[in-house]
Order: sequence, then C-alpha cells, then structure tokens
Amino acid sequence: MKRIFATGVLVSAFVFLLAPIVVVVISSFNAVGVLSFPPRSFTTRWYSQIDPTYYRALIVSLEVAAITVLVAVLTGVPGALALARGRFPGRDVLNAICLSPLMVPALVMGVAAFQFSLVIWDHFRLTLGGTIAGLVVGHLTFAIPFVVRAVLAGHTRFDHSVEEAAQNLGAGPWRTFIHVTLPILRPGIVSGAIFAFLISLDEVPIALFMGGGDATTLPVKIFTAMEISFGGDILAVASVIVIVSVVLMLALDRVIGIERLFATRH
Amino acid sequence: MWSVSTNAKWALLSVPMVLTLAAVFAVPIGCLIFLSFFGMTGPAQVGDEFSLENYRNFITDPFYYRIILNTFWLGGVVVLCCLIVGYPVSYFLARTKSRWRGLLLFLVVAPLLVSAVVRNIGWFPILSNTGLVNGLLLKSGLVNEPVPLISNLTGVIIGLVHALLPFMILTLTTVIQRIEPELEEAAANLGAGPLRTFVHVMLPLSLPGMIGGSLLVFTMAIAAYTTPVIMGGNRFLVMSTFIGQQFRTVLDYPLGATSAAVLMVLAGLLSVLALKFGAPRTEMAR
Amino acid sequence: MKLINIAAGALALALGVTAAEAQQRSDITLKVASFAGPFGEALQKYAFDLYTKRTGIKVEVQYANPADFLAKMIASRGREAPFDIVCLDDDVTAAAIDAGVVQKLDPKIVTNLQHLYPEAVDKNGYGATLFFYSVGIAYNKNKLKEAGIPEPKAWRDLWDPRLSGHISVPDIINIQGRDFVIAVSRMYGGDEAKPEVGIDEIAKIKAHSYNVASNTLQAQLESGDVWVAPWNNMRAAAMADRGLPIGFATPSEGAIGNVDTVNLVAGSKYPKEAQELINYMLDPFAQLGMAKLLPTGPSTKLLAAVIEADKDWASKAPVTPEAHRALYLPNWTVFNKNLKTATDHWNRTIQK
Repeated sequence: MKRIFATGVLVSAFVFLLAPIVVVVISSFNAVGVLSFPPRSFTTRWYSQIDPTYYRALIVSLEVAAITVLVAVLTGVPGALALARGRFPGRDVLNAICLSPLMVPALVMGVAAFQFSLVIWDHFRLTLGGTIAGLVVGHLTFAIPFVVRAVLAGHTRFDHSVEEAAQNLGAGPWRTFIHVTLPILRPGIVSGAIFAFLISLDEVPIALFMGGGDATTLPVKIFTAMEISFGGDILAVASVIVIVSVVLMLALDRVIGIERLFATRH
Repeated sequence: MWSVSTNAKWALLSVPMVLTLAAVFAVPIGCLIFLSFFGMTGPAQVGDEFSLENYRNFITDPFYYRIILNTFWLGGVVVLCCLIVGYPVSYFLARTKSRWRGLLLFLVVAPLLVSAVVRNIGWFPILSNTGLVNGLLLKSGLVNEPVPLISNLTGVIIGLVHALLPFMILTLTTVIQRIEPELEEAAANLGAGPLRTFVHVMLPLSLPGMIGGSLLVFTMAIAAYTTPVIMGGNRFLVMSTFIGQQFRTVLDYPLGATSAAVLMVLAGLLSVLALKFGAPRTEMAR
Repeated sequence: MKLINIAAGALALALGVTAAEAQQRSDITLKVASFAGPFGEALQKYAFDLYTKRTGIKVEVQYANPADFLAKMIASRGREAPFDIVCLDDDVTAAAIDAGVVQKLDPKIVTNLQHLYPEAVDKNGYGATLFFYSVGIAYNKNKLKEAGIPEPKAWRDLWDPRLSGHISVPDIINIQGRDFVIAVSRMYGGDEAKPEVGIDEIAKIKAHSYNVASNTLQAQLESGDVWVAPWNNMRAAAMADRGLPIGFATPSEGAIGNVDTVNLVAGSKYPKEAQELINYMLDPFAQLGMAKLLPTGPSTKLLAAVIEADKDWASKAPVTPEAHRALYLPNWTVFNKNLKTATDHWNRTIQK
C-alpha cells in the first residue's frame, strides 16, 4: 500500500515536470494552428523551415555556457570551501553576498551590465557589448552563486577524518585534495555546474542587453522572434534543443555514467 | 594543513571568487543603485541632485507595499510547494539503487531545457478551460465547470513551481545522499516507525539542505519576470514586472533602481535571518 | 593577398565601382537594430543581402524591443553609437527624436523618400515609415458563435457583459495597449493628453487577463479561453492563415494605425552607407517583400499597381492610401509626455 502511494507520488512529480515539454515537442508536428492539442494533423514542415541562423545561435549559447561554467567552477569551488571551512572576519557577510546576485531580477542585471560596459568603454576603450566575453561576464553573476551554493550543500557533514587518514598515510595536501576531498564534493560541484550551464543556456534578459550581432544566443533569438510571430517553426527549434539534449545525455550516460557523477561514498 | 586554524589560507582561497563577483556584479549593480539617489529628468536620463526623495516616496506609499507583499507571499507559497513535492522525489533519488537513477536525474532538470517562454506557452493546452486537465476533471465528474488554472494566480504558482522544482530537488538530493542510510536503519532497529524516523532523524539532518534549497527557490521566485506575466495573465503585479516597466517602458531609471534596491535589501534581510536560524546546523564550520 | 586584390578589382569593375572603393567598403560593417521574425527575415532577404552583394559592405543585425534600443541609444550618447540604423515603433520614434538620438535623412542619398506617401515621411526630415498596420478587434469566430454573441463591430462592443472573463486587454506596456487607451480616451472626451479617461473606462471591463506579449494572446485565443481582444491586423491574419477561426474587425469608431519606422542613429560612423541601406529598405522590392510577409500596408507609392491587382491583400491590411489614411495615427509626442503618469494610473487602477 505504501509502495503504491510512494510510486504514485513519484510518477505524478515526473509527469508534472515533463508535461509542457511533451506538449511542445508534440505540437511542433502540428499542421494546423500552433498549440491545438491533441493535434489533428501531422507535418514535419516546420523542421525543414528552421532558419539556419538558429544553429549559429545555438553554438554561441553553448560557448558562452561552457566558458561561464568553467570560470564559475574555478572561482566558486575554492570560494565555497573557504566559506565552509574558514573562520575569517566577514565570512558570514560574504556568504550572504554570494547569494545576493540571485535576488536581483535578471532584467536589472542586464541593464546594469550594459550601462557598466559603457563605462568600461569610456575608460579602457574595451567593448564588452555584443561580444562573447560580455555575455560571459553577465552570466557569471548567477553562475558563481549557483556553484557556491551547490558545493556548500555537498559539503554538509563532511567527515574530515577521511582527509586526516589520508594525510596520516603520507599523502600531501594536494594529493589529499585531488583524491579524497574532490571526489566527495563531486556531486555538489556537478549539480552546481549543471544548474549554471542550463540557466546560461536558457537565459534571456542579460543576453538581450549584452549580446547582439554575432554574439546572439539562441534563447534571445527565439524570444525576439516570438514577439513578432509565433508559429510551428519556434516550436520546432525548441524541440530540437530538447532532442539534442536528450541525445547528449544518453551519450554522456553511456560514456561516463551520470550515475557516477552523482554517486558519493560515505 | 586543513585544520580550522589556518583561517588566513581559507580567506585567500576565496579571493578569486570575491574579485570576480565584485567586478561582474557588485560594481555594475552598485552603479545602477547609485541612480536611485537622483531624480528622473527624462527617459533613461538622470538628474544630478542627490536626495533620498525616491526612497521616501517608495516607503510611504501603500501601493508599493502591496506589490512587495504580493511578491514575497508568492515566493513563500512556491517554496512550500517545492518542498512538499520535492522532498519525496529527492529522498527517492538519493536512496535508490535503480539503474535508472541517472536518467531520472536528467529528467528532473528537463524543464530547464526548453526556453522559458516556450515552456510557459506549452502549459496552455494543458491548463486552459478546454485543456487536458479540465477535460479529465469534467469527464470524471469531479467538477461541473472548468476550473481556471492559467492566466491567474494558480497559473503563476504552477509555472514557478515547475521551473524551480529542479533546483530544490537537486539540492536536497545532494544533501540527503550525505546522510548515511545506516542512521535510519539504526532508528528503525530501535523501534522507531517511519514517521518518527523522518521527524527525528531525517528532518534535522537535512534541514541545512532544506534551508539552502528554499533560499535558492525563494530568491529566484521573487525575481521571476516572464512567468507571472505569461502564466498569470499579468493580473498579479509583482516587483519584477513593476521594475521591468520602469526599465523597459517608462524608462524611469531612478524609480526602477529604487525598487530593485528595496527588493534586494528586504530579500537579503530574509536570507540572513534564515541562515542565522539554520546556523547551528548549516554546512559551515562552527 | 594579391589574388584577392585582383579578384576584388574585377568584381568591382563589373559592379561599376572603383577597385579602391570596393576594397575599402568591404571593411565596413553596418549595424542594424531591427525586429525579429518575418520582419527581420524579409529585410534580410530583400534588402540586406542584396546590399551586401552589390557593395561588399557587411550588415550585422541585432534584435530586441524598440524600448531597449532607445535605452541603449540614450545611454550611448556622446560615445560610439551602438548601431547605425534602428527600426522603431512609432511611439518610440517620437521619444527618440525628442531625446536627440536619431538624425535627419538626406533626401539626396535616400532617393526613395520622394516615392513615399506624404504621410509616411517625417515633416522634419527624420526617419521614414516602413509600413502601416492597424489595431482593431481580433476574435475567435467559433467561440462567439457557440456563445450566441454577434461578432464585434465597434470598440464599444468590448464592454458587452456577455464577454466578461473572456476578453484579454492589452497591457499599457504593449503598444496595442497604448493604442487602446488612446482610442477609448477619444471616445469619452479625452485624448493623448488625458489618458486617465480611457484607463478608467477600460478598468470597467472584466478582463480575463492583460497581455503583455502577442504570443501569450495567441496561445489564449487558440486555446479558446479568450474570445475577443484588441490586436493588430498582422497577428490576426497570421493566425487565420494557419487555418484557425480568427476574424479581425475594424471598429466603426475608427481603427488606430501604427507605423514602424527606420531611422539613422545620431553618431553613426557611416552615415552615408547607412542611408544607402535605408534606401534599399524603402525600395519597392523590399517594401513588397515585407508588406506581404507580415501583412502590412507599404509606404511607397510605387506599389500602387500591385495593390490594385491583389484584392486579398487589401482585406488583410491597410494597403491602399484610403485605407491607411482612414487610420488614426496617435500623436505620440504628446502621449509620451504622459506615459509615466499613465502607467502609474494604470497600475493603481487596474492592477489590484
């Protein structure tokens, strides 16, 4: 009885999570209307009509997301460790500050970043607007907090005796870090990295203000196109992203095993 | 070498993060908030008389309180729903040994794969008066008339919970994983039923994760911009919609900056309180 | 390197441009701020690609909303212009001229200006109209028939109590929302200077929702939750073309007209080349492409013969001069002065 209830709750949760995505993918094959559901007509015409510039935008999005996550992990993991283990003055304030970028509506961040990029141009003649660097700068504002929070969560109840044991056995601090600490923190780091990557991939307001021209990301392209017209081609593009991600995930699982990324040892 | 006494070393480790955040966040936002101390002289133009006028107007106007209250209330409800739906899923994902675990973890983040605007629009065929859910409800006789589930407050809550649930689940899963299953077994061996085990073992131990996840979901819920507009039919005015108006339509930067500043300060206070509450049990060193 | 020079020279000679000029001009990139979707596609195909082929100058496009473009231009005053050409809605155009961020067009370079309808050319020589479109009432034919409600013919029909809970009112953030406020204001003795009159009346409608973006309204109309809404002819026609039962009515009190304009940004590094490109955008070829894709009424007189031959087009958009002259084009300069108070009043009256 308890089994059935528990399974019921789980299944409902996953149905909830996937429902609109399934609707979008199925609707991308609608010949009549856009969201008439269940669809009464079938066509693959929207997929053949996808404007090729969308693929270019997808590449830009992937680049920006990858670089952002890299920098976020390189600065965020040591930072999170410092917050978790250090006791220096201002640590609590720093912890609160680390969360604050997420409280700022992305729109405000976008405007602030744009205005700031103009100030940078004034003083250093460096153009950030309309460049991948500018987009990365804008996206780091939420990527770093995500990584930090996720690593902190993964650091809960960290058993320091494992590290001490390794050192007693002769491992230096660097080896201990790589072979003992990091694997334990891995699920946290991976969660944070995934959050940051996915948010960056889907982010609109900051990329809207900081991007432009060759540095246009896919969600911005979809967003601006939808303001003018909304047809099956938009659904097709969105569905392509879903299908590509599923394929990537399956491949990743085959090669590395997602399971192992999230596995932890006690 | 890793002992707690080498605090200077830890402080040093946090420097790259501090510098990066300062450059990409603190300084730009600081410059923008600076605008809240001046008056609006035209679209996207700011005067040069420093004053606290904007704040005084904002704080003494009940219209603005209402927007803030709406925003925070919405955040609270979304957090609650995410906790209730998310905990069981996280528990399952943390404890299961099924070979589908990796795939299920992927499915959890699936909502984030689709562009937010497209995703919200995907809800219409499901939640509209002639949509799937109402179709089922009417056919099963549970209701006589369609239940309005979208273009209203219910729609906003559904949309936000859907978008933010992955964050709650991943955070909680990471934390619950760190709680040794042996603890639960021990409690069971000592005669505690599942409810007692949950209340006295799991809950206290996973509290830091719950607080962490809740803060994450809350801050994102109050900053949410597209969902309240699309899923809520724009009938429930929240701070981010209001701020959006100032920065994109009316181009009143000082008012926008003032509103954003107030939002940040209030949310910041709430976060500090929450962290202090969970302090004895959080992830950080005592 | 040498080979490229020779090739460029040959190509340039073939195109009637000197070798040196062609070499130089291919270093230039013009930045255009425009609208996405079919608007952007049409411009790309019928204007930009053609221009690049003939002159070698690259065109780089960025997409966003007109208000965002305005904000960027204002923020960049005194510095490098963020783009050379900008397409704007009519209300933002008035604000841009007011803020001094766009400059006048030179009729000697933009020769197509003389072929435009007089109402499409700015009296002071600033940007030119690309096309006209109208804002009227869009409705779901099937839903109205089911409910036994006659199809709307006038703005006043929107206050019909039978429509309560099924009408989506455009928010003031949206240009249709502002058009609607002005139209209603004028019906009740107000105008662009007194938008509160209109807002108070609009507050009396029991709306299903207040849409900010057209795609939300599209989803609502398609799902059948919304039966009626003030909307523009372009989106209504697009839905009808997809086989959905959406009708569009020009209200008897008069539809509101809007235009989208193309402007030269102040401080552009390449005003001459930018204006050449603007000329391409005002050329009948580009005009026809854009107008048919959206559909809208073109601003150039040279298409009159084509319009005569295509009656179907006339039913979907204000294409003939009579049609677009019948539209009321709001005085945005006056309205913009009241935008802040209007928005504030809207928030307090309608958003509860």
